[in-house]
Amino acid sequence: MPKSHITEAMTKSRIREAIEGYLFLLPNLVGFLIFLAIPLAISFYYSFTDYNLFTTPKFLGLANYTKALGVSFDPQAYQAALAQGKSWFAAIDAWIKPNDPTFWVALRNTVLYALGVLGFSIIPAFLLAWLLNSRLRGMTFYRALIYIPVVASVVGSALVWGWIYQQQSGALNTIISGTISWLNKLIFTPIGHPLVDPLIGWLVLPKYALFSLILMTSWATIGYDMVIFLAALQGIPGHLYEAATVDGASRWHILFRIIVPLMTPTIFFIFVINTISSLQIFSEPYIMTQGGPANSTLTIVYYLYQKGFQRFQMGYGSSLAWIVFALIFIITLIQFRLSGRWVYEE
Amino acid sequence: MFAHGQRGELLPKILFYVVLTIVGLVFVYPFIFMVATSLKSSPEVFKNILSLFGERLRFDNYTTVLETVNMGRYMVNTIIVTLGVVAGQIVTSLLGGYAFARIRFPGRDLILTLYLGTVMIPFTVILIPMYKMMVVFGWIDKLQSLVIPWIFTASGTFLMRQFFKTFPKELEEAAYMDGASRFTVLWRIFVPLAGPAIATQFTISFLYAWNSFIWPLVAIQSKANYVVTQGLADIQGGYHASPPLVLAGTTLVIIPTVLVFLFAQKYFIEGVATIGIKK
Repeated sequence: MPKSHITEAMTKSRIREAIEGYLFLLPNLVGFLIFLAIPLAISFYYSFTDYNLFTTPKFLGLANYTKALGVSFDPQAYQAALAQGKSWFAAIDAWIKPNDPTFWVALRNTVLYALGVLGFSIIPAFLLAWLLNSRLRGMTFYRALIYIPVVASVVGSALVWGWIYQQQSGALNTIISGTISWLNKLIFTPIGHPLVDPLIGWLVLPKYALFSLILMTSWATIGYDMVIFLAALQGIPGHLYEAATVDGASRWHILFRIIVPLMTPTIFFIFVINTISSLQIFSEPYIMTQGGPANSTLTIVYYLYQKGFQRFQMGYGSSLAWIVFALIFIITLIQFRLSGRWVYEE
Repeated sequence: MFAHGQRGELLPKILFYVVLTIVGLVFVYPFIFMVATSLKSSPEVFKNILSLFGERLRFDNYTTVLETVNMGRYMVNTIIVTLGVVAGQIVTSLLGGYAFARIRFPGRDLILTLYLGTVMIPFTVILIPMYKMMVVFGWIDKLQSLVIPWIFTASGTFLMRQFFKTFPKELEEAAYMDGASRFTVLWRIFVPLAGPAIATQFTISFLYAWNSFIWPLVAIQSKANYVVTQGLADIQGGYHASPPLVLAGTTLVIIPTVLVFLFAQKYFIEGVATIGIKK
């Protein structure tokens, strides 16, 4: 066969292969075009409109975004607050008038929620992974126990925790009451200072509700973080420990000088993935508190749901969705930037 | 801790197990509480919420929830949706994973990168237009709205690609010599060997479909088409005063995922460890 025929045949088979490649990928490509790319573009368009689902969207420009993010200033209120002898902080608060105060409440709650879950899950998860990374028997069993909350439906878990947190006869307050009356009988009544049962309104008082949700979400997150930590710990080559042990390093020294530095990429990964999911929390407040009491557990996605699907402000709802997206994007970017400073790479 | 098979002394070992057992109990206590409460009567719950047993085990709470509250119907709907999503995701990710791992075509790496980038996009962003799209398609309140849009998975496709990449080239060469098509090779040679990857993808898809809530909440309106998570939210509203019924329903929803997890633990853990996809 002349050379040109060979190359021609090769080109033909190349083209054939390329066509086959696209054919195998076709379901995925079509699916993502219809159910992701197009909705994404439409959502972006809606976010600049006034749209109630039934009439045609009316273009508003940036109005939705300025409604959510914009503030105006009221110098008179500032002066008045100072004249009334209020604190400087309260005066600033009176001075700034957000266009949509509820949005800022939801944003604040969402950020606190995300920070809270990070704070309550990463360190316990790391410690548990460290404990479970042992050759003793039964580690798979304990790992399973801790992981079960991760696989359980969030809606289901929220209902269970609703009865744990219930104020009058819930499990948690019953345990606390029992412990207090036992301590009183044993110590405090004899010395004349009995403790008072606080009967905390875990979900009904604004100052506790968000914290209660954070605690529950952390319970459902720790197992997940732990498994990732465990995988990373098992990837640390054994000779590193042996060398350190031979050098006479203590267990704590090994933990903080060898394990933690080697784990920083994993810690970073968990930071990012937990932030992304916590910023989108919806089901927990929807089931347990309906965003209350007094909007203390209203998250951004819940607020979006209220605006979009209960008040049919689809345009405004879409702009909230893009703000969540931007927030996630910015926070992830910042974490990536900061990671350069503390993440250890070989 | 105890990492290198060192012969720890007995006391630290005992302490170690005690600590782990307490921690483990704290994590599963809500589920113990759930099952215990689901088998009591309402007055028994309010009398002592911490007791594990009432006067007798009231399994009739479950029949009430399945029949009167219609949880049975919601379970059937959820099983249909879950099977559809699981099967669909496995098929599309096998096809896509194979294409990315074994076939050369222009733009392959770029498409893969873009595809993986979509994992970053929060679902919330497309919630509203997806709802509108379902209205246009006439899929609102129909179970296909819970299946068809969700059978495409970038992370699953990536998982399969990574798995297929590890197969040696010789594996399929003989088959091609015999004139087998790519599809035959995928179906007859790759799929039978992809058991672990398929099992891992199964666990991810299963949890995703079974536990989903916000999308059914907006896409499904009539009770006959509810999935279990919606059913639970509904019982909570209607039978608020009856914790045994609410928690019997909750047990029915949670137990299948726990059982699948316990049987396929290895694959769950593998899924988390390899692609780190959350829920």
